[in-house]
Amino acid sequence: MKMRNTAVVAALTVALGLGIASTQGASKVSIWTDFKGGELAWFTAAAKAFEATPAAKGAKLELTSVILGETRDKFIQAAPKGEGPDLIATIPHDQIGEFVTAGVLEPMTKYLDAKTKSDTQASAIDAFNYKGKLFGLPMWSEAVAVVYNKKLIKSIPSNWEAFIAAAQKLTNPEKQEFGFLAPIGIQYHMNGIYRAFGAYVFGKNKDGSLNPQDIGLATEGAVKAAQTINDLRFKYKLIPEGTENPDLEKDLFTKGKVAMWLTGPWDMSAVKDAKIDYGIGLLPKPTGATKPWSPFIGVRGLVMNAYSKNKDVAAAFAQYLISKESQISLNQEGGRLPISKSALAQLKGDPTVKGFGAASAAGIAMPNIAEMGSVWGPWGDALNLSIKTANPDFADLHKKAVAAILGAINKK
Amino acid sequence: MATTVRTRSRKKIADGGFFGLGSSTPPEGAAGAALAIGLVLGICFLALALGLLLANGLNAIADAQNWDEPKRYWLLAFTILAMIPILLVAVKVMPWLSNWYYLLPAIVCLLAFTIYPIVLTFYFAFTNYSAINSGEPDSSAQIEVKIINPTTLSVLGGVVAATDLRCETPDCAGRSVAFLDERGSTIKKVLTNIESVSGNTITLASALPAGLEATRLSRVNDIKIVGFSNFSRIFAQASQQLVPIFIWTVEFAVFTTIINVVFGVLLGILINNRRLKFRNVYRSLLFLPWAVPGVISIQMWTKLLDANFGALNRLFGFVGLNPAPWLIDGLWAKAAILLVNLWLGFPYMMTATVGALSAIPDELYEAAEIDGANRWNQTRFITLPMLTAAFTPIILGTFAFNFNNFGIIYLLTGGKPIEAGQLPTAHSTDILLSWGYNTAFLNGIDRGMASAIAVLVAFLTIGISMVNFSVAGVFKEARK
Amino acid sequence: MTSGSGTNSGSGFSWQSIVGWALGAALLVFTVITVRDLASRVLPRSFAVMYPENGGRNVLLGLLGAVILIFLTSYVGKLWGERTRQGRKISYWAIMSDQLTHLFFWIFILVALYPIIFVVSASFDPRNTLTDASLGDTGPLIVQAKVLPSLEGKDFSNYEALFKGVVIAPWQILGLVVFALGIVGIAALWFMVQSNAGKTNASINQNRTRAYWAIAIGLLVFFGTLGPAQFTGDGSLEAKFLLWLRNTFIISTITGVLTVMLTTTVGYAMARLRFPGRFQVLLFFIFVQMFPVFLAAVAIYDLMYRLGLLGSFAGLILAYSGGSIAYGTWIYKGYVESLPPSLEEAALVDGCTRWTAFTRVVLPLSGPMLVFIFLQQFIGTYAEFFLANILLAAGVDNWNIGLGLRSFAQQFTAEYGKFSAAAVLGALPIVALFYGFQQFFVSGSLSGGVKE
Repeated sequence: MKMRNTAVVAALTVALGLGIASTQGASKVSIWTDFKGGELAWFTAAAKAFEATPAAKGAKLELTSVILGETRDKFIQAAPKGEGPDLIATIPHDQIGEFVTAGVLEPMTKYLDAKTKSDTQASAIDAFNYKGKLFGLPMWSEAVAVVYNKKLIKSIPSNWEAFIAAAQKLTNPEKQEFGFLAPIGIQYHMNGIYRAFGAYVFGKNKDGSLNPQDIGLATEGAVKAAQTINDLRFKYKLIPEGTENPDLEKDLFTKGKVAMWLTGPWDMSAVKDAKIDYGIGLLPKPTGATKPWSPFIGVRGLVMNAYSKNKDVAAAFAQYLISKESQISLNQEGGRLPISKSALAQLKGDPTVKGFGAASAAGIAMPNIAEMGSVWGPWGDALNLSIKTANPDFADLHKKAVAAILGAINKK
Repeated sequence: MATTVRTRSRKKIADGGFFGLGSSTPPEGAAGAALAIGLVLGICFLALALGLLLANGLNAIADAQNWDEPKRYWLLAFTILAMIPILLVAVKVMPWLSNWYYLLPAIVCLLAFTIYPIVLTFYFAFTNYSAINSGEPDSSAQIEVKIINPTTLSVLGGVVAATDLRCETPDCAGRSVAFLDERGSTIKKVLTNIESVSGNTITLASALPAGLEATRLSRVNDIKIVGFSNFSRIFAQASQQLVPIFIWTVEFAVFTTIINVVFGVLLGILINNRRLKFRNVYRSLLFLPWAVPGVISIQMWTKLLDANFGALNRLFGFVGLNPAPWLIDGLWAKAAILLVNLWLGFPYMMTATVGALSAIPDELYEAAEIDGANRWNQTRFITLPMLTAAFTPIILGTFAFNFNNFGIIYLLTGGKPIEAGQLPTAHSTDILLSWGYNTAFLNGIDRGMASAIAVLVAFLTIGISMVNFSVAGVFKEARK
Repeated sequence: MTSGSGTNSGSGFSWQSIVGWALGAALLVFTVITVRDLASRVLPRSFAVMYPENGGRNVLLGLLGAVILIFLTSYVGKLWGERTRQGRKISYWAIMSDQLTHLFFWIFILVALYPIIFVVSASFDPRNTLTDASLGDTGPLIVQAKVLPSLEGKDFSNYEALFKGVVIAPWQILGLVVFALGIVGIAALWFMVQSNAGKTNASINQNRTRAYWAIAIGLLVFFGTLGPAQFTGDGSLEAKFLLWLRNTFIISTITGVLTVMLTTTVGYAMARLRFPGRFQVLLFFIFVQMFPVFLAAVAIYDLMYRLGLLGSFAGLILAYSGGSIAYGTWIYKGYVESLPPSLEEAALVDGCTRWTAFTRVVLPLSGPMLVFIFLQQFIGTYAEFFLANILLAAGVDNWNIGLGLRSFAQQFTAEYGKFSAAAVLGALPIVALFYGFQQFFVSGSLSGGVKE
């Protein structure tokens, strides 16, 4: 009698296992992607087109939509167990250090042919270069710049005082009118100001490699940068509490309520949809800064699973995606900034490419070493505390952040 | 284990049935209990061993015959299949074991899917397990080699093996490394250790499997046992993490319990008024916050509490109050958590109060009225004592539940906001459990440390629950 | 703690009462200090909020007016009542306190349901209302201030977005029809019972059982056969909503059934069988359950990898299976103990074994309890997302409701309407279950069943 019970449990367990576990075929190439909307449709079409080419060797491409925040943990956990995708389209290059040290990325040096290499911006290739090997094929780059509404302001003043004065004149929160908005709590967007004052994330060793023990975020320059950002809110009253949310800023800008807005190419499809007559320019050099404003450049690229069973086909698809033609068609779809020199030359006239291209030229690539993962959190905390009240102890906040970063880096 | 017990005891059958052989009454006392539990565990492990044997056998056959690799979950089926004959034999020999077969499915499930992970977590607490130290090959520390013979490799490309593999010593002695064998239907990791490196010749400590064709040798970032260093790190930073978080965890659990009970009981007493028309309508409407899944309603609240655009601050403005920095200021965020948790919890408390009140017999009040007690004295000497008795287990349960109420913290504030001097894994409203979560999954993915936190939380929780159970009489009832 | 002071003060000044009052006083002082601290931290007036002149004064005056009105109407009511029901004295105090209670409840219900009203209204609003900084310029002041949602310009576009590009097969429509018929049947039976003064009879009960089966079978047909291939939308996240609902439904149903299977035998044995070790095992079950399982998530992940169940629903279901055993066992044990043992004893005398006595006598009697245990587990699993986040395969196709809504909340700050629509639809099944089985949760509330 009890046997029946046991047998039922046994049958159920087996049925569960058989019924639901997934199976893997040999001629499938699985790809994770965080493309959305129109770009996803573009990507799906590209996959279909690739399947028909001889390079696909008859393999089927299996696309899985993931969100960017999900990929890091899932991929690092799943790949060594043989459960990961063959290819990810795409990840930002600052994550590859963590991916590589976790041992999940395949070196892709041999998959970048000489012709493509010579047509690709050197900085984009450098971004995916980790300890002398190429760990991904770069696809596009992005950097923040000031997008302005031509209806409200003709051009961005090239001098900081004039810029502030123009922004102040256009700011009237009571009527939801803003001269200048920026996500001042996000360290990625604010790096341009930090760098203008000489602050840096990692210092460099003699051989040019990054030194994770030299963190330049508590320097005198960093304090001045934090002061400058704080002034935007508390001295010049440009960015009231609550408006540092990028989604909100997008909403306000697309409604024509914002004259100048610090953002990246990812928001341009919304700006175009809203039929705003826009221009793109650089932020002027802040007063007292030693260098011009210089934002982070993020490069997005395709990376391959070290445990992939279909490396040839996956690499062929990656090569197909970074071709000049597909970079151009992706730009037409969403406004991504190509890194192919010939594609850039062809798109010269496009205002988005021109504007963000200039920001990219003024910028610096995000560090891609694994230790970068320990920097974002404490730095963001310090920045957030720096904009909460008027003139807090910036030096102390940043010193504590650097201590936390070093603590996290050195605990291993 | 179980088999040895049985064979040893078979000799004893003649003189009176030790271990209750052949008897349907179990052996008595603590020894009987220990024997029974030992036998049940023995059966489980024996079945697992047989299951492993069968699964490995199948794997070997599949390997030899070049089949696709069998699914790994066959192990579960094999284990259960193996268990059936063992159970049949065991109950023939010791009929009293049949009592335990009622518990067996649950015991098996708990052992496999709860106990095993817990034991593993205790083990991780003493290791440096993290995203980087994951026991996997590191593709950033990789060299090209040629296999000369099963224990000798030759380094290609003129690189220095000790540098590129980031060895701790110049001769790389003991460094664990791996090849990835990519020929089969799945990629196999071939792990090995270096014995020594001289020039561009690497000598391995053990022979590679025959026929391995691989050219890339990777460093393996081992998971190492680090003793108590995770715990000592927790206590070294106690003033920034452990202490403030523990205090807030206790504060949160205590205050949320008090607030919810006070509101719930007041509402319950008010709605229990039998003269009140529409009381069932009120009750049904107030039931709603309980019925909406928390994972949804808490996320609704985050929008309502937005400092600038949230409906709550717009309401504040409407009645002439300045906006509150909900979710932005540490103290206000704590208030917000208590508020939302009240909203989530009051219907339950109200319902429990109505239930407890309706269990008080009317005769008590009638008798009191005859004795001349007024309404206040009736409430004070009948209602409140009866309620207190009914509410003791509820209060304790609420406290214990909220002590580990990760959901509301994670979904409402995510531990935010940040205040000066806080570390990235422990912000203003983080409780112990969310601190562990942040450590394990967000900043640095430090699983060893997170496991150490889990162990601390487990001890605290068990302590609290022991007190709860002894007060609520669970021990007594379970013994019945 | 506060009620402790009340209970013990009956016997004069015992030390407990002194401790109780001291604790109460300390709490009061602490509260006052905290409230003052909170008040000192408020923000300056925000540009996105409307401040009507004398807003606070007007609201207070309104409340005061309502209370005075109640004082007056209560007196009128007393006079009226005494005149119509001659000879009976009606207490003014009782009428007034009842009226005040009504006022209190209406205000309280408005406040308590405000978040839900807000979200339901936002779900019908095609513009995004959340990050819309601008205030309204039409309608009553309270709507202009965006304290109450406006009723203008509502449509179903947010809901349409959730189902964009979903292709439903004919048999699935059939399943939905069966499901809908079941719902209609339940509603019709409910009205029949109501109109019959709350009395039921055998045929009504039989039909109700049929209606429940129709609902269950309809849902099984619909969700059981729904697959990712039927989602042909443009790949936007929100268009996968129905797929998440289907995943959640499959996971929760199987987990619920598994829990019932695992806990009933244990609960029965604990209640009826006496053998050494039983008590220790029950305690062990309870203690194991205290360990916060998701902190062992890394280990569970490892286990599921070893079993080859990573990324499958089966792995997640098995991971959940251990989590509910203690509670279900405890509840079922109590239920069996409340049954008269004579029934089984009679069956045993008739030659039944223990097992057949359990399956033929006790199990058929425990229908409602089994449903309760199933529902508890179903609801608990429905919105769980921490383990799901770790164990389910990557990709939006594999998410459950909790994961989907979480990603909405993270990404859709500016598209609040779609989040609201998904929240409303996602909550609906559970709300329906709660109201449909209200009596279970009401009676279960005293046994310490806190909703997860």
